[in-house]
Amino acid sequence: MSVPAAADRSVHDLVTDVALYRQQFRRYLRELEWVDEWHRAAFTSAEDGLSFDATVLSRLYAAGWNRYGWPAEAGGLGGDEIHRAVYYEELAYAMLPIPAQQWTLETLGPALIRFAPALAAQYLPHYLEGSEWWGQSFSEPESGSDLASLRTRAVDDGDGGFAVNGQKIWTSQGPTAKRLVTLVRTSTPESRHRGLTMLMIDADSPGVTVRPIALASGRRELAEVFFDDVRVPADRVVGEVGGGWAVAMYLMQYERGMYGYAVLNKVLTELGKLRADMAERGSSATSRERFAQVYIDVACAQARTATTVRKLANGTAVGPESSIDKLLFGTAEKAVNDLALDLRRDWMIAGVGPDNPAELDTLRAEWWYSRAATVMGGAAEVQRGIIADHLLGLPREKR
Amino acid sequence: MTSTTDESWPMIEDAVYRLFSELAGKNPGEHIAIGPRLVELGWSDIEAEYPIESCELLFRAQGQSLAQTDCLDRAMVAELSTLLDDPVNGIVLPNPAHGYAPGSDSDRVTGIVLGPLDGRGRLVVPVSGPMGTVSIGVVDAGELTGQRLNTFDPSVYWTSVSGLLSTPVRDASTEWNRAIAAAHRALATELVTLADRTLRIAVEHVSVRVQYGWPIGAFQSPRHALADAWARLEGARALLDESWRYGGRLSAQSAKAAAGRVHRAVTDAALQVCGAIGLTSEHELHRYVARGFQIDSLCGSYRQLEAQLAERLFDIYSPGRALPAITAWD
Repeated sequence: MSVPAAADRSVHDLVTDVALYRQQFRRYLRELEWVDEWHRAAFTSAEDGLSFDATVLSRLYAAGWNRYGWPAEAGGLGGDEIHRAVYYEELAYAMLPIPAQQWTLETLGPALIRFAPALAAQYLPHYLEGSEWWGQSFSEPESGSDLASLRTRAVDDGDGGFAVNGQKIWTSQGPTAKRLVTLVRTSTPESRHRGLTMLMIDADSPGVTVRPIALASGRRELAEVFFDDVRVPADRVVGEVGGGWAVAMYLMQYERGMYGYAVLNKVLTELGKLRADMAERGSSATSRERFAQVYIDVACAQARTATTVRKLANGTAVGPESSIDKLLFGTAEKAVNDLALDLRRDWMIAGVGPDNPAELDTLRAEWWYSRAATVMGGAAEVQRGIIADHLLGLPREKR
Repeated sequence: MTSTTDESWPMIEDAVYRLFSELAGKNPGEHIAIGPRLVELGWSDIEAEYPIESCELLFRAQGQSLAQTDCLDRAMVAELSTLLDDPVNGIVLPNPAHGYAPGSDSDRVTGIVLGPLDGRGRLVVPVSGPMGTVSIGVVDAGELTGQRLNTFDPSVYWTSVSGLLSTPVRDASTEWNRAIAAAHRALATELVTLADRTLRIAVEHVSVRVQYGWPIGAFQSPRHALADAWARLEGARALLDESWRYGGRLSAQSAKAAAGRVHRAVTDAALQVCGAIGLTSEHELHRYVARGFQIDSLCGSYRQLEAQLAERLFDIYSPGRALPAITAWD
């Protein structure tokens, strides 16, 4: 593993002093030669976007910046979740797009480190340097919100490993993901959440077929994955056999706290760009007031997810209260994209505006993708049910 | 705020809660000068030990108990104290129609006083100057004329005041900004507490009210309405906590706006699920609803604050500049 340009001594200082990390990363971004290229980056396909973002990751990795907040054993330079929060904040401060691979990294990375340190040591460094990324393959055609009903099966392959058969769907970045962290059933269907196991499966394994799914924007953001007698060695189990649900629940804390915090920084940047448009082209007082309202919604969601990030950083388990985070950041992300749609109506609806087809296509794709914010990772309805049961203590729902 | 973990803090919290509920119970509707009662608790030591938490606690206790005290006056005056030669007893607040900009000028006092005017002693008067500057003067309550306002919450005693300002004023722009930020945090805390009480009343109601053979809290739509309201309330509370922890005008203003808006949202959900009984005077829900409306209107309602925030966000715009960040980590 390469040691970044900075000497070890200063790495140590940046690990122990997050304010110093912020300051130096900010300076790095300010002085970055290729920053205009990064600012202007807009593409008309998900694949091109990810490919550019992979280059960004490789450069940040070489300079060390995206390695803070990750343990040395997994290719990082040390530090905790707060370093990662500051990393996202500084990208937002510079109004730079966050490399899209980071979304799944924030959900899968911590779970792998916790439950499969050997796999994390082997593969996470490649993720950080942008040479590979992974998909989260949990949902199935018949198992969406009701995840514990999933049917993809893994059985003993007679060789110490597993043979996997079944189908997954809605895997984000699935079309280009190199590995799939897959929740499978290793016991009877009646075992519900007790009979599940998490496996890390290479997307190029014989028997794996990945079919990209184009969203309404035309972008192939998601994938459907078919497993036909796919052999998976025993050392690809994440956690215990039969312990897949625990891994999924651990991962959810990060999906709701850390991922939420990161995505709100992206949302804040989008809001900042919208402000620039409004300031330069003029806007009504009503639009500006709605803008302020949405800004406050983002602020509330960000403050809330920050409390969760603090808990994660000091090792406090996050329980059902993270459903609040999920509901707030999903709603805020949609609100920002709705505001952008309404205030850039001519451009978004009729293409009348700046002559930048890739940027327009990206904005439209963002609007479509943002609709998933209250669907994926547990629909808003599921989150409300959790809040009603576990936080408000309401009577169990009559079904 | 949840950061205080040492063992004496819960006892302090308890004592303050007891004090406020005693005040509210014994003297419903009366406006109370809290100072002497706080002295009995050894407040100056408590304030020295827990400078932020102690202030926040007062407004939580006030919201919880519905007591009416001069806590807000005290919190604001504390920020202006370096400019005051002699102690004062209260402050003339901007008229609710004007947001948080003082309505007084260097000759005339216009504004409101929380509580009756009689016997209020010396009052600080913030005065609007050119270019958004603010000065302060001091006036004796006896020199002002006051009229009790006809308030939405009839249990609230607010007085509209006017009169001449005969004493010289001194510049207080910086201090006034701090006083307003303190007021925004304080009022937001009271609002969030009122919203919390409102929501808990609704939760209790739907848990026991049976229709079609089930508690109505077992039906999806009231469950989801209350869960949504709770999530939004927790969002506003988190922003408010950030604001207490790290200070700042913009964050205090945003927190107050968020608290006011969320109080309305919680009110809507609670009034709906409590049905007709929740609209009656015998039910306690209206107290928390109506009090929240009053508190929201002080130092800028959520609508006024959102409009002012909008103005501010566009004033500070420059190309390539990000929106102000919200959280801090150290």
